[in-house]
Amino acid sequence: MNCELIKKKIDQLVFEKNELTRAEVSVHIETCNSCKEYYRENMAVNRIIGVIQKEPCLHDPAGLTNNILTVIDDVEQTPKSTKINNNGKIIRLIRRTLAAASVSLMIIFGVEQYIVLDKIIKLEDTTSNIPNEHSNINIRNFIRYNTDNQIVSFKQLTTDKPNDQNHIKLRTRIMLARISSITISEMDNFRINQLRKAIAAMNNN
Amino acid sequence: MQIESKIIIDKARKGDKEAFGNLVIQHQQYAFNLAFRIVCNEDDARDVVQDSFIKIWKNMKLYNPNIKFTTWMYKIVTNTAIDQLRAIKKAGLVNIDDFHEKLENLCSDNPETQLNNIETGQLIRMISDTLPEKQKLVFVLRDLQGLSSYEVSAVLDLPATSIKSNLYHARKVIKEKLLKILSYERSIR
Repeated sequence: MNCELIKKKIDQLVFEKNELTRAEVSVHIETCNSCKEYYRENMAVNRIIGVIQKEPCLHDPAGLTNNILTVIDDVEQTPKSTKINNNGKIIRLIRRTLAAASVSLMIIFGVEQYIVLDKIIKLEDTTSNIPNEHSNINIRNFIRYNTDNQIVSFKQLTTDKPNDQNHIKLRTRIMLARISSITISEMDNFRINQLRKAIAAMNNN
Repeated sequence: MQIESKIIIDKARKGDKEAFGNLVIQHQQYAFNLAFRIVCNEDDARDVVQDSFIKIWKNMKLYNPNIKFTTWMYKIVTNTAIDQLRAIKKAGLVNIDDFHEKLENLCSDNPETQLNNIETGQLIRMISDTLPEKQKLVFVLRDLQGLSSYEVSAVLDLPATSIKSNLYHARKVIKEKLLKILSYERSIR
């Protein structure tokens, strides 16, 4: 039998008064000196705790009662105030509602923000791979107009000083410009297609 | 709760001082035991009991009858005793030499020695003074006052798991301390 396990059972027997472990412990300590010593020590400790478990003597209990009753003669009871309780309940309710709302908002907008950012990054990657694309020309013009920066390449903007605050602002502007450029290009394409169809229809007539 | 006690409590809640006097008589010994085991001094324990019953009287109308009266009382006594303990902090270290013969006798199979209040207070202080406050309170309430884990949890506003772990650590430290003292006793014989 494992001595560590028996020591735990000795603790239960001595301090928790768990008699179910007694038989097993008795058999083990007959043959194991280490556990026997552990049991003996625990019993000694328990005897001392038993002594301090005894009720301390309260001298002159009547005197103590009189003292208490004399003092409370001049002490008024606190009136039961339902207002305090109701206020407490309302404050607790408001706190819990606000906590629930903030968690919900964090979840909703956190996920939404992640989706938007993900799409923007994908768009950015796609457009930056196309050299001299129409939207990139627009962006160059936009940046030049807004920041007086001469853009040599877009790679420069996305790799240099990634943690710089001005750089981050600039990247944000670039992303916005790209989105607007793409939107404008799409609208142009749509109008050109409509025009082509109209010309084709006229020629047919 | 006994019907008689419930009637007394109801009367005391309505401001009946005679009924409150009966409550004091009924519970002051238990309150004293708890206070004594926390502050380890008879005079301070009497002050704690007096202050606690004054608080109980003041707040009697706020007492929730769904909670056991003794649990509510224990809570007030414990908090008052802790405040008192923090305020006094005057007690110096207890000298182990003072307990030579008595501890030796207490550990024997048939102890004849009885400790008086001063010695009991010193012994409790000696074995629990190094414990953190929470562990000391759990040890006093559970092992010395004999409250159930559920009651200790209600008095200290701690979860049952915390009571269990605090009690485990408290018992371990106290056991080690007492064994150290006992081996010291044997070595000087």
